[in-house]
Amino acid sequence: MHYEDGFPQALLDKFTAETGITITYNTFGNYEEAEQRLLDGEVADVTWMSNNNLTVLLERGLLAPIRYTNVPNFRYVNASFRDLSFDPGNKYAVPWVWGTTGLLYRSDLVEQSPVKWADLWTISRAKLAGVWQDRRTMFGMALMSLGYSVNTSNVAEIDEAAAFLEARWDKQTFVEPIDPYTSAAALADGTLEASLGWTYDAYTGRGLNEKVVYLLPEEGTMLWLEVMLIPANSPHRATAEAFINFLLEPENAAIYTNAFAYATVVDGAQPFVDDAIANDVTIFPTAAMLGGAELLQPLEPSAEDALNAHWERLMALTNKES
Amino acid sequence: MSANAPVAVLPNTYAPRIRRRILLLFGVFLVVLLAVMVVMVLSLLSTNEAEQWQGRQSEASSSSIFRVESFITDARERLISLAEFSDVAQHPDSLIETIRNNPQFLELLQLDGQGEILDSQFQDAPLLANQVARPQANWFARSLGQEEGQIYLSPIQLSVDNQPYIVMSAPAQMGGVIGARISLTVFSEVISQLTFGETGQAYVVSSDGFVLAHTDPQVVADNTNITGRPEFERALFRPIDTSVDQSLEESPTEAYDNFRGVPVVGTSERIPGLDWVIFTEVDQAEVFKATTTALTTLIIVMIIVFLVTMLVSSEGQRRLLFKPLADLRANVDKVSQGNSEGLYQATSRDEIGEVIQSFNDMVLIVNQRAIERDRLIRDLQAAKRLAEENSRLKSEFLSTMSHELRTPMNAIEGFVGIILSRMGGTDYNDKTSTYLQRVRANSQRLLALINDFLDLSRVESGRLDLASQPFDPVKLAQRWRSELGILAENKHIGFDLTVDPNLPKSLIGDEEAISKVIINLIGNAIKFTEKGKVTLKLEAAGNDWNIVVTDTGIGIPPHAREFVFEEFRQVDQTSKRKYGGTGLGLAIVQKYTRSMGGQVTLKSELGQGSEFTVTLPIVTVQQMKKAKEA
Repeated sequence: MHYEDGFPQALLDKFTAETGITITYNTFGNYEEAEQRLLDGEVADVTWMSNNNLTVLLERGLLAPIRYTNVPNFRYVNASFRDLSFDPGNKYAVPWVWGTTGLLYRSDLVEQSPVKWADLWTISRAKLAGVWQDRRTMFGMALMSLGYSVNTSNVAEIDEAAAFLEARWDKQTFVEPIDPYTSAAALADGTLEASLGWTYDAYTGRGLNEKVVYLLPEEGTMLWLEVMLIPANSPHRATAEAFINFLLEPENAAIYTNAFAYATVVDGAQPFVDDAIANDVTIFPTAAMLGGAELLQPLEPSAEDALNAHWERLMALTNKES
Repeated sequence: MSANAPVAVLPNTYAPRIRRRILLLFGVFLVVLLAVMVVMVLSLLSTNEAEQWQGRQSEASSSSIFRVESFITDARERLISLAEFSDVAQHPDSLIETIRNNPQFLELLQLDGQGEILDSQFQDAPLLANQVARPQANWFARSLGQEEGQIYLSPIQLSVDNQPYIVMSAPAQMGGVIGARISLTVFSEVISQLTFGETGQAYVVSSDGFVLAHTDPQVVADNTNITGRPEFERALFRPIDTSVDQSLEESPTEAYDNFRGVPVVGTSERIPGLDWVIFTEVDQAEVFKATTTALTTLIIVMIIVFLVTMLVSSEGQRRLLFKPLADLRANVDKVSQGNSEGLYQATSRDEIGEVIQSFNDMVLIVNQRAIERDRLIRDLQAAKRLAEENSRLKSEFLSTMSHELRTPMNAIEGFVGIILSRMGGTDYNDKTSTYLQRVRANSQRLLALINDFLDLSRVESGRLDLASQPFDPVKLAQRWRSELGILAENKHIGFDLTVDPNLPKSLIGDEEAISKVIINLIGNAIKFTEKGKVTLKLEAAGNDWNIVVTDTGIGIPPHAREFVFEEFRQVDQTSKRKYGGTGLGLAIVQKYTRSMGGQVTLKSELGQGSEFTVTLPIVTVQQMKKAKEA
């Protein structure tokens, strides 16, 4: 099960050619849908998922532990994505691609170039920020701006972030909820001068209009990570592991990166990645650019509850206005 | 059987049966005995050997634990010491000095509370320093804010070039975290130096089942995980007894197939404070090498002992038991075949020797008796020949004499007849006539007597020639009645004749011989019957025919029925005087009947009468023809 933005057919064909195993390729609209479908008992051998969406699946025992004896190519996985706190020891989740979240702006239209997250609401001539109806990203911006961790478990910090957002709530507009959220088109045609953006927006936006600039704010970027999982109901667990191992082969990981310009977690893939992508710091940022970067992770239940309550309240403001 | 007849060869299937059974029984007993011995010796050996190995393994295990512990302790202490002097301003060179002096430290980092790098040093590559989300890395997140002295150990990781490492971290005294990437290659070298025996190997397994270090580095490079293996589960959940000095306690030894499928004898121990398990294993083949060698040797020795014992016992039995038995049997066979020469003599004075001696003695006695018996037989045969010759001579003499006597008797009879018929016209007075009558009667009796003698002697001397002529039995019977009816009439008794209609009209036989028999019987019947009647009955009886003569006379007492057919016998002397007769009649009847292939039977009741039945075979003309054609 994979995002419906696609998966290179060449990779699937290559696996079939090497192993004789044909892969049935299903898609989902977003990670929440994928999570729900797994909770509903849909059978799959491998599924992709945000690292954020594992909590309930793990609680319900719906994931099979990865037998790394069958996945020796895990050694290619970058040290950054090993033994992270959402999945100690990478027991259930094998990292796949990752990226950043930052600010996207029209260098020719804004009054000044942004530096911090908070600049999003102030730099455009209309003082209007393009934002997403994504609670974690929105609160992440606020928490980072206030100097807190995006994964905080401190409810007081979340309350503070909610106030921070509320103060700016009328100076923003929600980008149409297309999954995954993309602001690239709005920026390219000038509908928006400044907006939330992510690696893919930066890459495609720049292709549409070279004045579209992507910036990782100085507080740090919010990282996202896509992982591969084997549902516990997988009828072909060993094949699933073989497929994961196949995808972690540097040459194969590079095929994916070349097709979609997502940064692969596979260290050895660089030689096989097109130079334009490999040298693009938007896609593969340097270590210096990632200072203060945090990976969005599932929150503690108390923090989660507080955040959700604030989010409901804030969204009610939007509905009242409209 | 002549004395030179060859002794029969003993059949092979005969003699060895008991021998085979005894050998089998003995063999089974021996095998069981030897097997028990082998098992006992082996169990003693293997226990001893296993104990020795357990000692060596325990030693290796303890030594491994010591090395692993000191490796980790060393790393931990260095890290804690770094954490204590974590003030970068005061100790700017602490990381670089540590990494220079300790090759196992691949990378060292000092992070602040937000995960920002304060200082970092590395030997190969800045893997941790380049981590994009250090705050979410377990080594940072799990150490941040922890108590002093607590360390975090990551699961085993393999680098791109397959080098195993772990990340160890400790909370820094000044806040933040000190992290270290520690090469397990060095660690593996420590483990791989541990050798005991030829196949002995040791490996360290983390609590989540990954092999951290192994005598064979490839096992680590293969990401081997032994979660779920019984020996691992047992080791993981075995409580650590902290009250006893671990080095003094021998860890339990188990025999199992390890994760590579090799049957091993292994011990496992948990490394205190780390939740790692160290295994030391030796191939069972090596553990039980001496036992296996001993087993082979023992089996060979036992087979030799078995064979020698069986051979000796077999040969002993042959000499002591079966050879003498075979001799005895040969003696028996010789004697059976009539050859009592050259008997085997007993070669020993044991039980079988005695049996052979007794047998030989018995053969001597039997031989003497046989000689005696043969002499008696010869005497008896001579006596028999003499008696037969005498009897023949007697019959011949009787026959001749009867002939010779009959001729003058006929003359006397004839002339007395002439005289009595007054031939020549001479008158006699009454006295003369009476005397002549008496002479005539006596001469007739004498003649009858002589005729009887003649008949009898003819049968006995074998000169009775029987004719085979067809005759009509009914006509024959009528002739008898007409000849003898007058005698019955004279005594006023009846004479009946009945003939079975089934009787063939024509029979083959000697009419005269039959007549002699029946006339004798009818004559007797009339003679001994005073009133009533005499009945002559002819009847068919299957293949025979019966001539039955019945009377209502005095009968024959039971004691006399046995001898009435013997010569010169009448029931008693009084009847002889009263009824006359030679006493030869019934003897003639029986001898003639037997000569014709028939028999005479007698039924009688004293005072009621007698019934004589002559049974003769039916021989018809047709049968005669068939017999001739055949």
